[in-house]
Amino acid sequence: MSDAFAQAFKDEARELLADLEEALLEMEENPEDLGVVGRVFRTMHTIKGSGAMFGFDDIASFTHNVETVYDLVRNGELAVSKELVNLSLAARDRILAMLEATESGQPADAQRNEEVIRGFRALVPGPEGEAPAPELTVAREEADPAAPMVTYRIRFKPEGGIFANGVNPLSLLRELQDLGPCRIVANTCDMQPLDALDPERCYLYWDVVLSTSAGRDSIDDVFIFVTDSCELTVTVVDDGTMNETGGGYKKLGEILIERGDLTPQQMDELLGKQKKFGELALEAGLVNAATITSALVEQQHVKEMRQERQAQTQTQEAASSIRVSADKLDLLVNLVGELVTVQARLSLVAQELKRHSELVSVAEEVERLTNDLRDNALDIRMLPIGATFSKFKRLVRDLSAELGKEIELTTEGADTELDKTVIEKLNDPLVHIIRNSIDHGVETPQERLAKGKPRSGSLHLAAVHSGDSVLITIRDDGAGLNVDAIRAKAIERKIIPAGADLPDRDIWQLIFAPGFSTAAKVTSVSGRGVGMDVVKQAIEGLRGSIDVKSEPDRGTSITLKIPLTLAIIESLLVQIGKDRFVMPLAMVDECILLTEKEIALGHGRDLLMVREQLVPYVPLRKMFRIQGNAPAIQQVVICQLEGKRVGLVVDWVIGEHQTVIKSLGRMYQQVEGMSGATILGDGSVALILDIPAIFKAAEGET
Amino acid sequence: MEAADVKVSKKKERTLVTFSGEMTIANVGELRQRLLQAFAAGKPVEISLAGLSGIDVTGLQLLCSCHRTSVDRGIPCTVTGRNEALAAIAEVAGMPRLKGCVQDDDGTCFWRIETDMVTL
Repeated sequence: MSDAFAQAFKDEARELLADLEEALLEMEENPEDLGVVGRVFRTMHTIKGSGAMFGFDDIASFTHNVETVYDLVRNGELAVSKELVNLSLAARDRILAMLEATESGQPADAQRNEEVIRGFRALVPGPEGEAPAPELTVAREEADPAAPMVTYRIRFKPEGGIFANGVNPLSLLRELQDLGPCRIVANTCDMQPLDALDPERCYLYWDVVLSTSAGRDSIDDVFIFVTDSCELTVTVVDDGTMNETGGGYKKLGEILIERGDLTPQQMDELLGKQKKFGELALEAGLVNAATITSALVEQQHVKEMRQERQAQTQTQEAASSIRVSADKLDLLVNLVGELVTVQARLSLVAQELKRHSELVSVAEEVERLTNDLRDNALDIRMLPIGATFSKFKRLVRDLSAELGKEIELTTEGADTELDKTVIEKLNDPLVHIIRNSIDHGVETPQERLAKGKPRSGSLHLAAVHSGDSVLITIRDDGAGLNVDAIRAKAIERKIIPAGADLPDRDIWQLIFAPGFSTAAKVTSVSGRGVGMDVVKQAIEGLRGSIDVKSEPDRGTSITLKIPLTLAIIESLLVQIGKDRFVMPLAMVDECILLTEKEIALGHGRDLLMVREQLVPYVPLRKMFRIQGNAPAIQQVVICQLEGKRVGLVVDWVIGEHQTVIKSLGRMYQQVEGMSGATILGDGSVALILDIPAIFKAAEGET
Repeated sequence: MEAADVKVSKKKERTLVTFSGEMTIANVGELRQRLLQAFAAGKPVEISLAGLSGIDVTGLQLLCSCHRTSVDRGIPCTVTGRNEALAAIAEVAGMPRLKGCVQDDDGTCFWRIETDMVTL
């Protein structure tokens, strides 16, 4: 077996397992919804089927046991219970473990598998509690829409005495109809008049033309109980690869010969008469009308299937997707980044050689294309955050059960798209925040009832686009942050001086201090004081920010503001002395001039009057200790920072710039005030300013 | 199962056979006898299926056989009171067809499409 197939199975199985988890949690919420049960069953079934196909026999046989139980649930013989959901979630984890075991080479814990299986068997009532021995042949494949539609000709000729065996041909025909588009023609040529009729004998036989993607096996399965008491021939008449334009149709005579209703000699003889073949065959009495009808029907059916297939081909192609490894995408984005850099250089050269109008127009064309290419490349990496959200459903469920709390998780904006790497890096911080909300925020049902709140708490996850950022809010309706406890703890840990009078807003921010926890006891969930500072670091690493709001007994809301992408940003290029710097354009409000007269008005303080508002500023030249004198007229770039306006003084503002972010080497990562670097059009390096850090440092100095 | 009932009433011009209940392997033997009686009268036979609630393959065969008998003996036979439930079953059984069987010289096949008898 090729590794590529095994890998495809693993990828698919992981997706199926994620889907399964979601379905199971949904099933827990709506135990009556048979649609969800069906979804669980189908997912198990698919995992079993493709597992067996690719040689993952342990997974297939394990899943078989689970599927058996779900078959009972689906048929209403077993009710959905909390226990069933718990077991199923455990089973899902076991399947994942087995899947991972094949990668690591370490065998999965067979004993735990056995425990889960035993749990399932215990659920099944009656003496048949033992699930039948694992059987790897998959009974009936669900019609897989991706498989090609193959058209079969089926002749089903039951023995005369078939009714005596309790067989109802109608139900067999119905089962065939369930497999796909199907035409059935009963052949009545053996019918007898009433006086010669044995009414309990079967005189009819059937010609069926069926198009299905379920495969030959599923047809044989329909007739599995009657194979001994009927003549059954199944022939492929159209394998689903040809469409309307490719290949001709079988002529009526060919179909009749294939079916054995006519010999080639007979056909040649008839063809000699040069009449319509159907009529000829009928007149000659070689075949009867029903045979002709059924052959005509087959011809028509195949034609329609091909026409339909052709009509679908185009839409299918447009809607189809391919699986690409993340590495390839990263490489693509890196290359686009390089291209953007080179393009900037080209534009610069074209500017300098303005005389060559040809060059200028080419440069402009390249710039336009590069921008489109960049947007497209970045767009490919965009993923909806919904997958991450659904993972948290399980987290919330398990944690609240562990802590004896009742919490309902609601989500909003699951289709909000974010860069793949951003989503990956968001996972851990979100887990920390949710854990904290569940452990410290939401109270136990008893506490809640005592406070007059509904018994079960709620946790709301929302994502929404806001400019070039995404706002992710985690809101609970728990006890809220205990301002006094945080203050006391902060004073005890000497984070703030005793007696410091801080507004609540600043107190809330203290929870992000390293090692900070007010929890009286350490639980397995949180309280170790590791967590919120990690969250803050991770979010800052994403160039994002955290905002906390809390009201006593009303709950806490934490909002993360995250940039859409990390790879390329729109920025403002500025110059101080000979050095150039870039700052994220999203933070920039406006640029104004700063004359010496205005500096003098500040009376030694770095304050500037802008439209009758005082704006503090940071002279970057001084801060970075850049040699030389500032020009007589400098420029102030005014930025938005946590709702306040602050200025950065530079020598010149050069203009907008597409910045491909390069991370700083390990040696420079501790340098405050810089979040990265970029390569400019002329090949020189410009540092990316970390504006929040610069102001924090400036505040510390004064 | 609903009790099946068949009534053969001899009218002036025709013999009316009225079915109600289900026409299945459980009663086709008896029904065949009654139909033979109806044909024995020699008058045109009208089979009314208005009261029929279900049918299986043997029932469909029985109807087909009536048509054979009618063609063989030259006694006209018509089917009236068709309903949708029966039409659906006949459809599953693949009975409807464009052209009747070899014996169907005068196009009176019960299952023919595009005649007034089209949809059983």
